[in-house]
Amino acid sequence: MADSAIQGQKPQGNKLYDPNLAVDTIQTTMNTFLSAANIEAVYGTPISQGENIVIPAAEVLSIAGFGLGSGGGSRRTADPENTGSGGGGGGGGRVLARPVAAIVISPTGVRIEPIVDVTKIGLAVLTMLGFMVGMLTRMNRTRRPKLDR
Amino acid sequence: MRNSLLRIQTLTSQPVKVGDMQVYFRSQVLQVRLSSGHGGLIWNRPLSVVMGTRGGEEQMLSVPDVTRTAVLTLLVLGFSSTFLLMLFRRKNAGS
Repeated sequence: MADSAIQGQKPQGNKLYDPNLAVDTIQTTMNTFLSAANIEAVYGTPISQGENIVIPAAEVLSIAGFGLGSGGGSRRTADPENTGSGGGGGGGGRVLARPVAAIVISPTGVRIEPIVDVTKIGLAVLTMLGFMVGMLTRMNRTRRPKLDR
Repeated sequence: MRNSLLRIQTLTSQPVKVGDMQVYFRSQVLQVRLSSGHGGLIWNRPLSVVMGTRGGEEQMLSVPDVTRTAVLTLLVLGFSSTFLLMLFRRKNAGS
């Protein structure tokens, strides 16, 4: 096996070190992951409530990333200790979903009820207030030495 | 992002029959995909609901994102008011 590595040939018996196999696996996983965000991911299953049908609508954000690496020992020497090879990889991903609205279909027509995320808006208000107070404090601090002169 | 591929498309669902109406749903997808296949992003959001009657008339209702609108409005108002206040103070200090 060491001789074959020295000659630049891939080892045929052990597929664990085959980088193409890992790339194919990751590619398949990636395609499955990204194809999950289709229109069925945004609009949920219709729920019947009496004469009305309610369909939830959500925003979906999916992110994924993978990395691969492989390497081997120097091939200039015939020493078997310097001819090892290895590879590795890693990846991560996340799917975020947030409800946006509920679509109510009734015999009289279609109505869209927006869903308001009060927590998110409250956090935005607090963040903005913090930014404004910080900027005003900084402006006052920088102005004081000029007034003293 | 050198080999990234950006794509924006509108998707339409299968129609849902409700009485005489046919209701379609539309969503907008922003897709950023690396050509190496090692990563990507999909942002999928509801766009509108289209109602079609037997007479062929279509009515479209857009799906509003109240939370996003409120957050963006807050950000714009906050940044712009701080910037204006800075300009006003600098002008007063100069005069």
